[in-house]
Amino acid sequence: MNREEFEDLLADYLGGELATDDHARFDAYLAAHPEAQQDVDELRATLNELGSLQSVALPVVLPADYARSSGPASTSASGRYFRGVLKVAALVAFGVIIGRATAPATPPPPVSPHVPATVASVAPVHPGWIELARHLDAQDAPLAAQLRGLANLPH
Amino acid sequence: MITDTAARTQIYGWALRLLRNHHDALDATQEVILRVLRQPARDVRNPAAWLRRVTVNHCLDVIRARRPEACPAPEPVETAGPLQHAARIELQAAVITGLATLSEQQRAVLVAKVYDQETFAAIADDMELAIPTVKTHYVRALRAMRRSLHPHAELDP
Repeated sequence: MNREEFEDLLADYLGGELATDDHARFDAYLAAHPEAQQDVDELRATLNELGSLQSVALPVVLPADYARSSGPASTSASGRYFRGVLKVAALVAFGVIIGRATAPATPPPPVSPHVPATVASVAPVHPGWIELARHLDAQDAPLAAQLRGLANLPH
Repeated sequence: MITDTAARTQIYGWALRLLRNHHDALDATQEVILRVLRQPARDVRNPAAWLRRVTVNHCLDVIRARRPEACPAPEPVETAGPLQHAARIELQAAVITGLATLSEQQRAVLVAKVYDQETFAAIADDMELAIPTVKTHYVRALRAMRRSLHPHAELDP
């Protein structure tokens, strides 16, 4: 084996693809040429160092929230828009709940004796919510159902 | 299919190895998926290999764009002591830096061979190159990485 053949077989040797016959000749060449042996040793050490990236801990599966958010539906502009709307709606609802919870205690207003209590205690629903829910029915039914539940809209 | 959980996990795994930060890796995964959905490749023989190449290149772009002070703390879980842990982190950073200096073909060959244990024949098929060309890229990439990881090695006695 000469230097040129050594170079030709070097990739196969380092990559673990050298044929058995060539392996013996390659080893014999290394034994006879210390500079070639040093070259191979250094490249093997480099391969080991490259393996350090394998030690980065990987989760077995992606986080559930990510798996949901990166699906194909989230890539459409309308899907992103309506999810944004839902987030705003959730924030508004959350604010209302917090506001009610932290408001100073005041006696409830007198309920008209002519209006049933269950009707008088329900706040009026802005027509925009109903319109949005109807629009979502065609785009994303589960999302529309979530919005209805969140904003207390009629089904 | 790019939107499969397995494909996303694969992209995320590669991004995490290179970016070493969970949130950056998630961002990179999202970016790669969007890029692939917007510009699907045509006539790709090995979609997995192609996807890996897109991911690695994107992550290296992210690394190049990072300000040095913004480099995130590494997240690998180590059981060795703090010194070994620090040395490992330093080595990982050097490997990533070295990968970024390779030509795109050298990097693709090295990544496919070292990390995915593909054969030279399979890599040649994926990249539509001759097998000897792939082998040349592999050895040249290894030598370049050697120089990158040990820039003063030739000066050592």
